[in-house]
Amino acid sequence: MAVRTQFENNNEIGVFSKLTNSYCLVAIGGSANFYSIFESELSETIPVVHSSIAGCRIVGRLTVGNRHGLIVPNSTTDQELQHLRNSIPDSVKIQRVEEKLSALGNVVACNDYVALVHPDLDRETEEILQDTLGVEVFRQSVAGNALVGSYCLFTNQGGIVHPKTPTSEQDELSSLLQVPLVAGSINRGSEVVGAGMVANDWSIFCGMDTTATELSLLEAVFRLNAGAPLPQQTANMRQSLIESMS
Amino acid sequence: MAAFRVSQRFQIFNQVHLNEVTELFSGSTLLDLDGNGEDIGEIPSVDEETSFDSLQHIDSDKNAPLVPEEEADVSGSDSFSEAKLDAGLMCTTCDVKFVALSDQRQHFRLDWHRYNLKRKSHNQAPVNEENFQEMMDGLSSISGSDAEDSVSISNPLSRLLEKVIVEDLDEKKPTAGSRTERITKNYSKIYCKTKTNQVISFYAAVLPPGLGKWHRDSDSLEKVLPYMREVVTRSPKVGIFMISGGHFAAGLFEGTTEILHKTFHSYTVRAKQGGAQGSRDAKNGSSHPKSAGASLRRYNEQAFNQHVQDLLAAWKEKIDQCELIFYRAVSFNRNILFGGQNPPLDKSDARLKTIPFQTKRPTFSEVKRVLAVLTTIELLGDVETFKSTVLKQKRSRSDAVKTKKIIDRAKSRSPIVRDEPPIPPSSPETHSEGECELIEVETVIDFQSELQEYGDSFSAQEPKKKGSKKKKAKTKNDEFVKPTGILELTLKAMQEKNLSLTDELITKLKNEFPSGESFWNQPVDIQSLTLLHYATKYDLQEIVWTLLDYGCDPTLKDKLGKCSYNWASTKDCRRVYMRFQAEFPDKYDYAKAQVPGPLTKEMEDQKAEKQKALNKIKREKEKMKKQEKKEKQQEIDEKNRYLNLSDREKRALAAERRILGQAVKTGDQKPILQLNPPNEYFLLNPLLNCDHFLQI
Amino acid sequence: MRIEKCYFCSSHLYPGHGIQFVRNDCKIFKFCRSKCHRAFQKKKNPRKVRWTKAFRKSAGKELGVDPSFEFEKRRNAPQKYDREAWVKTVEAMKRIEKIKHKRSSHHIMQRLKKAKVLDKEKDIKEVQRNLSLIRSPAAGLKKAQEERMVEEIHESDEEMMAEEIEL
Repeated sequence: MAVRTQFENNNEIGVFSKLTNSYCLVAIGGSANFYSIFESELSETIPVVHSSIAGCRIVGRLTVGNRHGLIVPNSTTDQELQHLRNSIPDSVKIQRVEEKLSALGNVVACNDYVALVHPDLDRETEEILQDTLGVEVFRQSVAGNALVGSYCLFTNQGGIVHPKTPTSEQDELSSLLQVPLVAGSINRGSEVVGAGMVANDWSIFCGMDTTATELSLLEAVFRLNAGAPLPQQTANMRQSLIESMS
Repeated sequence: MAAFRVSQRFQIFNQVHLNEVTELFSGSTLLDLDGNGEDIGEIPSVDEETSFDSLQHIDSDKNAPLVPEEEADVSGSDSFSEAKLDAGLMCTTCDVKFVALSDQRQHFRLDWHRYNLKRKSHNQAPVNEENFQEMMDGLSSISGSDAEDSVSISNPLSRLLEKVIVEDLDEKKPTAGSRTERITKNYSKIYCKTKTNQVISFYAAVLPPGLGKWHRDSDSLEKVLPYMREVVTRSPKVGIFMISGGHFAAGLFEGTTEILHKTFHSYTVRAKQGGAQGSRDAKNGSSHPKSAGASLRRYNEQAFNQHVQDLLAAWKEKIDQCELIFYRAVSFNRNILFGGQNPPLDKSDARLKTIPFQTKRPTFSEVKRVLAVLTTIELLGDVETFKSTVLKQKRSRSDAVKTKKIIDRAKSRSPIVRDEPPIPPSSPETHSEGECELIEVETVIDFQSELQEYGDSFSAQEPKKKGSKKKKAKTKNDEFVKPTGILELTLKAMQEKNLSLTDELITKLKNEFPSGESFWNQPVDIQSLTLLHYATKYDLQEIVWTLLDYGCDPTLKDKLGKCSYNWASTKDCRRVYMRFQAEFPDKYDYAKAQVPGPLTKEMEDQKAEKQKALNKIKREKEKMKKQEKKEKQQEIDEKNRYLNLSDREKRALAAERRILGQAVKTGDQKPILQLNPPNEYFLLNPLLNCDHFLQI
Repeated sequence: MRIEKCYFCSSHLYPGHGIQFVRNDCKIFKFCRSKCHRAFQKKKNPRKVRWTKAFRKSAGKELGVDPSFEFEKRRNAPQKYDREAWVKTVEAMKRIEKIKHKRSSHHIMQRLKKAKVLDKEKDIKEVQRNLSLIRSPAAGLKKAQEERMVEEIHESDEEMMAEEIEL
């Protein structure tokens, strides 16, 4: 399901929340609106957790995680770490890392199998990523930007990258990650796709400004239209359609 | 602000660029920037397109427009399929292609890729694998005088990465005051115009004695270009001498190849206060400090002078043969070259020239850089744009000077309208400096011995004083067992890449230590490399296999945190590990050893087959292309034929078409109609399009 | 709240106290008071400054390496809350504190013992070196001379006796 939402009049959903296949972190905000949207959408399947990292609300940009684990920066306090541990399923490993690039959400983009990381990330952090998240780690930049976490977002189904990514680079990345990628924008033309939305294998949350075109592209690439006929069928339908028109 | 860029560089004195340079100088004239913008000499008409334009294959700034927008991509991704995934088997950063996915994934873990990424982010061209290896090797054998005050054992990669940033800063610094401004000021350069109306520039200092001051002496003017034309065909001998702060570097070159070179350093400059001991003594008259340091420096200074003079005396014969001698020796350093009872160089020698730009600390690499910069011809784009930018700059500057003079402070002034400052390029300097800091720290700290003691309150390796450095080095030496006997011989054989000898020695070792696992895994070097590391580093694949077989643990890491697998420089060597994993999947923890996965015979065969298939597809594609071209040609021919038809025939054709159109309206006949191309249709409906695109 | 340690002197740093310095490589230094901060700014090495814990440990004046220090550490992987484990931990902390205290005092006692032996050796050496102050070497000389004199007298007596006998 694709849902539009807002955090205190701000469209950058990916900044204030973190969504994975086994848990969802939401920033502690003034109103419960933001939280309740996530809650109504996800509460049947995964826990939605109010949290802060180092006293900040930008949980989405500071953390990185997937089905297997969650990695938080050095600045996370002990209480926050304990709170996360107590509210997230036991199967998810939680680890705090001593990394200079402390906005982990900006420098790492991952799904349950692969991760793209900033070229300057520590070797040690890379190893922790491999162990905790169970992913293969590749150092890469997206459209000339080293902040891969901000400029791309992908799940196990598909992904979206910075709108100005050359086609050759898209091909390269999708071959590397083994998921289909498209270049696109979010929140009415914002380039920071990673910070503008959150997604997991069955749902998307994006800013209120997101246009219908953008949303339809997202639904297609993240394969959310489960009710829609299978791609094979549509292809057949399309063929017959073309035939009838000709 | 219209700043122009150097689009290309050539080296004179270098036979590689011989053709290009001769081409440039044939029919070129000098450009006068001093006067009113008129040329000295005549402008040849620009009618012929020489091969010159075809030379511009390198564009120094890669600001190629990134066209693909959302819509464009949607239509492009339409054909996303298995074939397209294969098309992505490449690395655009390093400009390489791969056969299989595993190759690609492996590539993204290499240091080489990481280095190229860094270069890319600083807008520098990628280096290929061999060059990268060379650079790494060059760094590991770095000379003492060249190394900055970095820690003795640091990761060569991180040093290389630092270097990228340093180079980048060098390139950017001059732009602070705008390049054009610098050029107009810079009369150490000569500007010429080529046949094709392009501006080229080179340093006046490379001209022979008597020709250098060309813009004041119009007689020697005519000789400049003939000389340049002549000099590129041979390799003149050049000497470069640099002295500063107790550092000395000199090199004699023939063309661009070095004949002789020497660098040395002695402690003469006072720490913190700066300045050499001698200059301080001279300043303060009779009060000479008597501290141990002062006398040491005083002595060193003398010895240094003596050393330089001895060296120059020894080289005298070679120096006499030089056509040009460049030197950088400021203030009291001048005395070393020209002072004394019998000075090593004659002050009045016409061949002597100072280096006309900033230099760094004298090292051999700096000497080489000086030579490269001096002998470079820069291509600066076409004359009109060059002149307009340069002259505009000059005029605005002179205006500024005038207004400054007539400022009347009593009167109120209208605000001065200034040009907007140039926007700095995308990666600001401060940012890259910050990165510099990050990369430095990559020493492995032994957790057990160092960190444990003080818990989290205190990190053991934190503040380092200069004095403690020596001690640390000593303790490090103690950690490994110095290889002796056969082990030493083995290492030597490995270094020489003597496969048979190494093999023999290793079997001998095996016999001597039949069950010593710890023996095979002991570090044999300061960096705590094991035998396996060595074998991998020197690409001895058979040895790697045997060592793995004997129980050498690939999970062991060296001081840099690298497993032996990471030392492998070739694909084949990496494959040895993967094959070994396929054969003995439970022997080691391969994930920890960073071996990406097992590789069986079948997989290799499969890969080869895939390559074959790919090649086939490629060939077919080419065929298709050819055919398409043919068809297009045919169409054009048809069109031409139609155009050549007479009016009557054309009318007849039009009538035919009309008849066809009527048939459509009545609907009784199937018309020949063009459908919208599928792409256009998909473009209107992104949803549909993406479904199609997702079928993989 | 976490009670941090001062980077320089390793004393406790309670919430609301001290000052913190973040270097541009992201490393955080915390100081308990301006004294420590200033020493750090002067680029003093805490291992070389005699009043710091770091000096005392590296010079062997206090217990430096001990498994009991292993327990109190910043841990990066959290444990799920379990009341029993928590209670146990609190109990263990008390015990560990006791053991730690015992061990460090033992360490100090060992050092004092060693010092006693060393002191004794030093004293003996000093006494031997300055023995002349206690007993003048000249005293011995006088006695020896007297003895020699007595012997000579004896000899001369005997000679005289012999002469007398001859006579």
